[in-house]
Amino acid sequence: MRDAVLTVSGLRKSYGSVVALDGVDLDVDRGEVVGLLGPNGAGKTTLVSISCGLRRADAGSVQVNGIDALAHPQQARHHIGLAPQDLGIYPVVTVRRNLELFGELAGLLKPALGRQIETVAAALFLDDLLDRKAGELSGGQKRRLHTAIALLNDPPLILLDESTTGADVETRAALIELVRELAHRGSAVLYSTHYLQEVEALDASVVIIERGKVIAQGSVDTLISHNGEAVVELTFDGSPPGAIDGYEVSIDGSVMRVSTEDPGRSMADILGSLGPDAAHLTGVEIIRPSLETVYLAVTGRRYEAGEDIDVAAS
Amino acid sequence: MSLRRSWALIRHETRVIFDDPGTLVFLLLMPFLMMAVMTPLFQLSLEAEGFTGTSGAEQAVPGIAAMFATFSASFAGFTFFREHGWNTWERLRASRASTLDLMVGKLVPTLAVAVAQMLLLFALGVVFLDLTIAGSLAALAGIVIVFSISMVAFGMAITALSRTSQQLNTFANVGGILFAAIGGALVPIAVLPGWVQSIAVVIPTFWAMTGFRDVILDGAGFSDVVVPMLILVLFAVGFAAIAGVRFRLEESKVYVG
Repeated sequence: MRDAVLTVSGLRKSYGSVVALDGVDLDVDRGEVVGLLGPNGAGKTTLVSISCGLRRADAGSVQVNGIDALAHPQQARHHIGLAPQDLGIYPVVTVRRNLELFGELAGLLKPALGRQIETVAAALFLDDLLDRKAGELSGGQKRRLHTAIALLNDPPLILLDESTTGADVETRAALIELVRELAHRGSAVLYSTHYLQEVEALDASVVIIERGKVIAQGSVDTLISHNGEAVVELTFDGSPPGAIDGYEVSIDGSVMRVSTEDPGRSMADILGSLGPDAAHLTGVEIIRPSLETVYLAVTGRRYEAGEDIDVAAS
Repeated sequence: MSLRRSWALIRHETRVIFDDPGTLVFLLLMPFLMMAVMTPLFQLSLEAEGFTGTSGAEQAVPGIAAMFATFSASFAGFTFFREHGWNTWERLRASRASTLDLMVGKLVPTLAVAVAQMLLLFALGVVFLDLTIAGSLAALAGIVIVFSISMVAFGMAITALSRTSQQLNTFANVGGILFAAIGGALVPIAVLPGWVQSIAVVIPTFWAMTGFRDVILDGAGFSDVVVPMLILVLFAVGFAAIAGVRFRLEESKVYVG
């Protein structure tokens, strides 16, 4: 039996003529990490913002721990820790004061507040920086403080919206480890990102969203086994040949792709059969079964982390 | 509303304000210097009005204090714009703090600074500029408080109407100077042209100056200045109503600082 902390059903939101969310459904269970994956403009931030009551939905429902978050956002917020997409900290006060403010707003009282600050700071390697002004921290340290603020009250639902954007390697690793730990302790984590590798590293359930629609959903393993055949990708300096004997090909501009179970053998076959077209070949790549091949299979395009989707066109 | 959350926000906002004490010192030093310069000039104009034995501080101190109090409008606005500049506004909104908690937490420290600034300027006037207050100190304090409330409410109204911090600055500065000039703070209302005197009643500064002069020059008590105080309260309610109608929590504002 599912134990959903966040349940989103039929969620719709438009900004004028731009459709940001077009009937999104998803669940995040207790102890589960759901990676919300999609390029820039896919609707991830809108979904996160509506879930914590920062924006109004046009239609649909959001339940947080059984509370109708659209009708009662204030009550729902008692169960949510949010780290928004943009770095949001007070640079002119210390790390401790930043944490104290949001801890108090979350309802923590002394001495529990102090203990929780120490715990969260230690988990994100901020314990030696508590008395430093936040504005004096490095970019990675600021990003960790930004995330720490969301975790102070040990919320049942944690919404991390592109928390690792611009973060250094150390910060990224620390955050991913922390997310795993939070889920292990029972929190439901909705982890919005545009980095495929992070979701794979988290071994999370995945919801791939594009142009406001969920286009794939499931565990990483399931998605890969259903949609993740390896791909041989050949790039030409002009139009690719229209067909390769024995293979089904897809053409995307100057790129030809072939899905295959045996990419090594297929690549050798394909290169051998190119004939004079081989002179126009500028690149060959094998894309191993991964979320990248899943994305390719469901969209017909390669995934680019910073890719901007023109939602107005949808 | 939660008193605990409001109090946490008030303490936090106070820390942020005092992180930049230079601005606060400036808000005391500048008006004090202006008062010192204007006091001898106003001695002559007060004598022309028939007030003998005055130092001129009786107009200079309340006038300059009232003019600088109008700048608390931009102070009130910047507490909100700053949050947008630091991307902390959404965090606050996503917290358990209610809208009322946020408003109280942001505006009470601003109001306290405005009241403290005016009271300190009056105290400096008494000590250094030979200001004599003939009437009730409680009445004077009452006018200071309601005038400061009306200016903070004005700040909220122009914040609600502004998308960018430059717009806020423009509204606050132009509004502040206009209020001071027409309201009888820069120069005594009696020396202004008749048409200005007739429109001055729609300016909150006019009612603050009326009350201050009643207390300082005419020896008025608390009950004598109830009318200007009530009118200032009405201004505050009006400005707050504009803010209430126009202010959108979810509206993003552009802070250029």
